[in-house]
Amino acid sequence: MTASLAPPRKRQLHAPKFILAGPAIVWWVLFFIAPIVFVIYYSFGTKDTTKLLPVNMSSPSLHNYHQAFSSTFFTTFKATLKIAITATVLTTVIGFPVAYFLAFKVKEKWRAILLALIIVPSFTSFLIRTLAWRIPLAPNGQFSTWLQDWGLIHGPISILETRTAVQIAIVYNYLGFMILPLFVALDRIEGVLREASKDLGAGRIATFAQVTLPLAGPGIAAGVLLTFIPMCGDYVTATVLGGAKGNMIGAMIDQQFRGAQDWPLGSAIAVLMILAVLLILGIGVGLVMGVQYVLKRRRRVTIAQLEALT
Amino acid sequence: MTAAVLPITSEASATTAPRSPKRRRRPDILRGILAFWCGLVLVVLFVPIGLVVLHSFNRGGSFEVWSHHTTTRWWGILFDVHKAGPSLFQIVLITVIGGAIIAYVPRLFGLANRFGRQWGFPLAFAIGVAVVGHRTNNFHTVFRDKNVGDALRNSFVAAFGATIVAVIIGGLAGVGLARRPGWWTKPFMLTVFLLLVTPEIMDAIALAGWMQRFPAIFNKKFLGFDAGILRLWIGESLYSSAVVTLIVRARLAGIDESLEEAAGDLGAPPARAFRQITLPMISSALVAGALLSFTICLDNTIIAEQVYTAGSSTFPIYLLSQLRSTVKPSVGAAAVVLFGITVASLGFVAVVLKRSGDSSSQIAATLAGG
Repeated sequence: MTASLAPPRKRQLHAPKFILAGPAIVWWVLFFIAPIVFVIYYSFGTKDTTKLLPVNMSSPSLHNYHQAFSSTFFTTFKATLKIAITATVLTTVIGFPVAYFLAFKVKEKWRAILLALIIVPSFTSFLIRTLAWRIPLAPNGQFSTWLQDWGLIHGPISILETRTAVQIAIVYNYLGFMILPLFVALDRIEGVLREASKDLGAGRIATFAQVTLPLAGPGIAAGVLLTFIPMCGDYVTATVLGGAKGNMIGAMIDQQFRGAQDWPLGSAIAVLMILAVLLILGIGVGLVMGVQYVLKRRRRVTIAQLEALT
Repeated sequence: MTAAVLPITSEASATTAPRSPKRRRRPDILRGILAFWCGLVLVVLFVPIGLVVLHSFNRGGSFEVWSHHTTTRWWGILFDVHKAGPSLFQIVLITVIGGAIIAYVPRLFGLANRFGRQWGFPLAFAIGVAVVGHRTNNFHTVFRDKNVGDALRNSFVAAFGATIVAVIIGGLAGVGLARRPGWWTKPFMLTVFLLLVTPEIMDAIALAGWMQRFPAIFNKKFLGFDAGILRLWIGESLYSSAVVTLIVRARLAGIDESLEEAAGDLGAPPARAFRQITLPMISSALVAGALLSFTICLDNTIIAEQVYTAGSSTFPIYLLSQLRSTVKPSVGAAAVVLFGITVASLGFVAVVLKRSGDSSSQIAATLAGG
């Protein structure tokens, strides 16, 4: 009855399906994609400070990339990647037990409180958290005095304004952003699977290695992406704690843009940074897939083998 | 010829038998170790923040070296105590009384007041901020240190505008992704992913260059705001709009379209179905996304530092500029204010999501980006 009453509904919406996303598409193309395309374009130009936009595009060349591969840039590059890779490994190693504990070993009520306690410091101003590390690391600070009194170190702490300070603070700054995706992934693993593994005779370690860890894979990948890539471009930590010795690639790009006004060189370094990050991630993905392939082959059980067993 | 999953016999699946008592009684050593580790990590996460709070009361002249004596002098340098205290009190008073009036008074007259109960206190808070802001010349007189005052205010204006942009475009895109998927979904999600992972310095220099290229647009006053504020709105909205998109999409992904279809069958035009059905469903996601986006924008340093203009320096930029000389404890005091705002806004996120029925795990998932 209702069908006959309803007006013959043609598809009213002839608008394309992406119409709701239209504003976002326009906004991101205008202020994200197009600007980055222009950075790539500028990286082939030459510096020209006489213009408001200090780039001369009359004779595009690879000159900036040549210069970017010179020794200073290369050392900073290497140091940045080293800091970022070390920090990613450390945050994973430190964060995984925490995420595991939260996902499997805590009651729901406590879990909420503990999660809140991890989220609050992680979402507090990045700059303030970095600045905070100047207090315990200060050479003439309280912490330094204590360590000297206990005879653990001789002479004041001397890691402020070095790469070590940057390394410590970076691990601290990104720890929460590693724990959260890890927790989400572990939390989504259904208890039944782990139970089944135990019922089928696997011990704790075997269950962890063969069930929990592979299922946590997406979480680990998300955590690595969310920490490693921003770490590579991070320049706040390096500026606040690193001084001249703890320079990172992000700070170097900033210096080229705002200090030296050498936009083409800065752009070239930025492009190289992205390429290097992609390369490292590619290698990482390749390694993981390789290991998975080998494991799969080793664990493969054929019907013939099963029959031989029984 | 790999072996398939071994068929589980009914006998095996039925054994939800109690485990041997011996195994149950064994103390879970692993749990203890993990709990200890978790506690240790939490302590390390909080110690630096605690130190900042402590050192904002440092009597010595340095932020870094503790003098063993406390003082409120640095807070006095930052705030005009005779103005700041009463202003804060007035805001709290207006929020509590006004919120209670909006939320509960209509009820006395037998009116169903769903809107009032939901939005009474936030609305009263907004009114309180506006009234006190008007009385104190946009909070100018609250601060003794005008640089910090201006920087904090710019931070707020920038974060607020960027959040509005992010919620509008991110909310619409999230609905589109969940309800009208198609060929465009993949490239679109790729862009969202890129927005989330691109190192901020790349966005920052790209935007700075882009804005330099069109000085006619980006160096002019905009709606009475400083040109720098417009630049900050654009710069800070990028990352947070991607976050809002993901949160809204995640919220709608669990609910199928039958309600909207029913509304359509009953004759509601799409716009009305959107307003009356879809919007209420995603409202908690929008509020959570907005608060999260506000927190992220308030903290934005890298993009802000590249795109700001002289009149629109934000608080993080001010902090960075202070690093060139000896850092004073007053910096710590300002940092504590910002910390308080972040905690409050995260608390609101938790409350909003909790009310809409999310578990703590789901809240964590939201914060981790859907």
